[in-house]
Amino acid sequence: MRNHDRFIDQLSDSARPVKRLCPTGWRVAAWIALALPCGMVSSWALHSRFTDWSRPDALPALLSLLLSFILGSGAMAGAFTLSLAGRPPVRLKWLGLLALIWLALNLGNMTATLPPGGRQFGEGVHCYLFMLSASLPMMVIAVAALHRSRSLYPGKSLALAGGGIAFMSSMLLSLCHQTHLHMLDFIMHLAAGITIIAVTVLAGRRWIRLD
Amino acid sequence: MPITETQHWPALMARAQAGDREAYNRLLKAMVPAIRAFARQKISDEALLEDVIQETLLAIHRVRHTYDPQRPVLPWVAAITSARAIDALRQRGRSQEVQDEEAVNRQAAVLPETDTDGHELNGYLDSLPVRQREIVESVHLREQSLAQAAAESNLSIAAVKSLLHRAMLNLRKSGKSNHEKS
Repeated sequence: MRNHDRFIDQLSDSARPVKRLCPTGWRVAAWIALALPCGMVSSWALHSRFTDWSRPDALPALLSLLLSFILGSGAMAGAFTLSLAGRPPVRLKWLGLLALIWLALNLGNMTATLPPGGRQFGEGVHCYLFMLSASLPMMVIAVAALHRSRSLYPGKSLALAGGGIAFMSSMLLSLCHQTHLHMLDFIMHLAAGITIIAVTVLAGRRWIRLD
Repeated sequence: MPITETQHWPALMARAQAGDREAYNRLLKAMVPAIRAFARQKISDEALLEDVIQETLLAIHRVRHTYDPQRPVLPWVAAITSARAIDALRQRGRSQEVQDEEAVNRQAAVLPETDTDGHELNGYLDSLPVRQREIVESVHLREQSLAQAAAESNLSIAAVKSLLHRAMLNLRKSGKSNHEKS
């Protein structure tokens, strides 16, 4: 058995007062308050119209927007909780259920009619770029927030944070999108979400790992 | 572990977070048996076990601001120990492919045999960049563990390993060129 007293003496000699982390709820609220305006500003150049909420088919789009916000906040709360050692494991059951409802709403909100050739794909690319540009500042803020706590499970924490960012970007997109969706358009939304998760995990790993 | 003893840990950690070094020292020393017990559930090798204990102490030091004194302290310590133990086992698994601590130590052990003259050794060390030299001196001359060297130099253990690895490559190079000259 090795004696660790000298090492402990070294650690305690170098110990300075530290500022405790805020409760997870406050951290999520602070992240939302900072990340959403930054996301709006960074995607402003790709902002082409405002959603017409007076249309008769706007209700599913409105519900989808609310669900995106709840899912985004929930996933961020999960990421922050998971980054803290000894906290009960994050239960993703409810988030998974809400995500399924969100998916069903969007699938149900798809129009069968296709716009004239090529426009559907162009619209999808625009949405993809919008979500990516909105997500970039959100990623930076999320990684900075997770860097403060570090994480014993960096991959999982970042994947959850990436999911939260993807839903928040999708929410911002809903504010300047048609109330109905086309298949290819929606596929591009999903592709943007997957890209955001992948980029968050790859870019953030180094910063939140506990070495 | 007596429950009465661990009951004081949250209060000690709260004082440590406020900068009370004595409380922090007492707490870390009291935690060592608990950390050892948690780590032993995953690791049977004694040498690796002691390394994991040091890495856990270092991790606790680095994330001590994440502990909430309203919550029990043992699950917090157990989670950190478990993660460190798994990392250590993974690293050991990779040791055949990647130059790890043992390989670095083996390389370093060759140095005193070939360079018995202290002046010559100093000459070799002088050829290294300052940070690499400091790490070699800490780990191989002052016989500190990687965790101790990391804490002292305010670097991560991975960064210390990387500096050591680069230092060994540089020492090898300068050793070869000196050998060729003579």
